[in-house]
Amino acid sequence: MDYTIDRAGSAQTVCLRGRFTFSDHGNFKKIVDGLVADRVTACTLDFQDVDFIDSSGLGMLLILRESLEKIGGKVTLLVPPGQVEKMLRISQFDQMFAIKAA
Amino acid sequence: MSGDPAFQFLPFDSFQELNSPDFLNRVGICYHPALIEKSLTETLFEWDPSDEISLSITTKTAFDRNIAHCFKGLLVLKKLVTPAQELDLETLLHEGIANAVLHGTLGISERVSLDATTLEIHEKLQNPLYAQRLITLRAGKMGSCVYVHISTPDGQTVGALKYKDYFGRGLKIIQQIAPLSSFNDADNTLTIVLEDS
Repeated sequence: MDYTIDRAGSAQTVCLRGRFTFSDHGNFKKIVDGLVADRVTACTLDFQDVDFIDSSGLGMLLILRESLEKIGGKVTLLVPPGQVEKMLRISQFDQMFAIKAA
Repeated sequence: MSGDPAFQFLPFDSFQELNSPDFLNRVGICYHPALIEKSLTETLFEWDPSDEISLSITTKTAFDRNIAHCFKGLLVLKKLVTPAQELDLETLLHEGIANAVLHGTLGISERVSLDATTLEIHEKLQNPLYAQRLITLRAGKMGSCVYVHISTPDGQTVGALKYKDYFGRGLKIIQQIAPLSSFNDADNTLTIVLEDS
């Protein structure tokens, strides 16, 4: 998985690319640590270029959500139709995240 | 390579060959640990739709390589699955293999932090006792359905019975996507059935 971060004050957009799976744990931890260090209160995760997510990826989203909630931040997921959207839906992540259709 | 063929890693170069479109186009795979010291070309056989496709890999290979994507590609090329089933099948394979590795051959049973689990996985993959345990995938067609068996032939659980009180997110995803999924009594084989859409 690759990623880029667009910074705009306390709001940041993280654009992910590729597959988001267990092996991305280290990279994603850096993203989360960076968002917390920057005191980001509004984070958008852009999944438009992600073609596959697994259960570990879903678990990492929960870690991000928990980490940002501790500093008063919120996470929005920007998700196109496809495998990622299906995984979020069947795991009922729409009850835990704001999800916008891309 | 030397020693007991059942305790060898799938060589990296061979896996590259295994994953090549040319290889997948030409053959079905009958890959057995006993054949590991022969070149993969010696393990080929003419594809017969009535045959199952089977693949045995070590735990380390299953963890390091994108086996679900590769095995799905093989099933697609053999027209066992339709394009509409591809993503569901890959998700099912990915979660089933991950479960067999994590709770099966690596024997990780505690619900701990992702950091701690990652550390334990990498420590165990350095130990041949864990790293060289086998995962076997078998798939075929049954009427209009595709079935996949994910087994740990060395006898480790695949998680459903031993960890019945800890039914993880991966297994729940399998249950949500697959119309039918089940574990054998020995708890070392997960069977997933996907209907033709």
